Amino acid sequence: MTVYPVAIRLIHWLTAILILAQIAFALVNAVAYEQYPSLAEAVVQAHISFGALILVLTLARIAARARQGAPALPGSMSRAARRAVQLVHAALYALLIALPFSGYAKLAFLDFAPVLFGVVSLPALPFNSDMANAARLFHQGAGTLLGTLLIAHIMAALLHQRLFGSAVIGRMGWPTRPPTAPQMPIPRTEKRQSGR
Amino acid sequence: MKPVPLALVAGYLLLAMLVIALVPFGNSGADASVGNEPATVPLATVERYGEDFVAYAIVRRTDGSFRRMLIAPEVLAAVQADAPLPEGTRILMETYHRPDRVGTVFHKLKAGGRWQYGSLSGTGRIDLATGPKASCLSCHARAAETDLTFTLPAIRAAAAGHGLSDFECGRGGRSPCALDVYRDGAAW
Repeated sequence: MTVYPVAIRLIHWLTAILILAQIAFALVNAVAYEQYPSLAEAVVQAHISFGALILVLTLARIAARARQGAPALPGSMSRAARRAVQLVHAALYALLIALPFSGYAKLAFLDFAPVLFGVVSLPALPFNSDMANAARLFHQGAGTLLGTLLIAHIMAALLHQRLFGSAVIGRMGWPTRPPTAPQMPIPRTEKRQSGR
Repeated sequence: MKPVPLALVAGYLLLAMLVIALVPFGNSGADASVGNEPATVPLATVERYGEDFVAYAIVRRTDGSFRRMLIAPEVLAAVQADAPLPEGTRILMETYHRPDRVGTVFHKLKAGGRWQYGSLSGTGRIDLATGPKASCLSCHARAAETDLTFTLPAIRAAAAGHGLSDFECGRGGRSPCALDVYRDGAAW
């Protein structure tokens, strides 16, 4: 297996789009809430609904990965780099699960019952403003950590691809040709012979 | 004797100027403030939407914008120290980006022990109907220790006869000020 199963690839890129949308919603709320309160409320409602969708997708992705596996990391990667990849992936999954829960808790502990996509109603929790504030602090910290790890994730993938020639990005892509066996480096002597 | 490089002399001069600028001259500034309690600014009653409100606080921003906080007089009379705001409390927050022109007016109402939020445009048109609002609650959650009301210290100060609270918020834009600003800056 050289690429992730198609379900995991679809979930990966859908999650990426949803996370970008979440960041955009948060920014729109911060900038527009005073001048356009209705818009701010709409984007916060969308933020809540998209967060729940990300949670469902992440759980589905973990299940798919446990069942279908993942392609092996390039052999050129060091053991430390492999360990770092595993840790970052695990942390990303944990944050993508924790963030929706903490966002829900922040509002639900203030006796607010979120409605997802205008259809699915979630219950409010017993009023506790201290718990709501604790959830808010966690949500804020986890969001910052997620952003940091996502930048590290993207930078690491680009670095491995561009600098070290490891085909890590292709594992999440859609190959235009049928996947072939990983290319082995050609020894210098063979290169010279083929040039003659 | 070796000539002293000009750059070295200029460097020492610059350092000396920095030290002089950073060291305060004596303690005349501290002396000047001793015994000078800020004068109490009396509370003004204003009419809004056919009702009377008391302006109990102004929150000034670094960009020149400010917010004026208004509360119903009967609520102010019923406020008790160290108790949550009473049922039926209504607070208005007027936003000004020009001194002569009110922008969005936010409305906050305590009903059934829970806060509801809404907003009006500067012309009085209802923009956001009053109710539980996620966008408002998610920000006000940080004011958990003051009944989800950032300016509660100012309300209590006004209720205790200390007049108008005039806050300086160091944060630009529309991000909420730290709770310390309201706790430490109220007109006590």
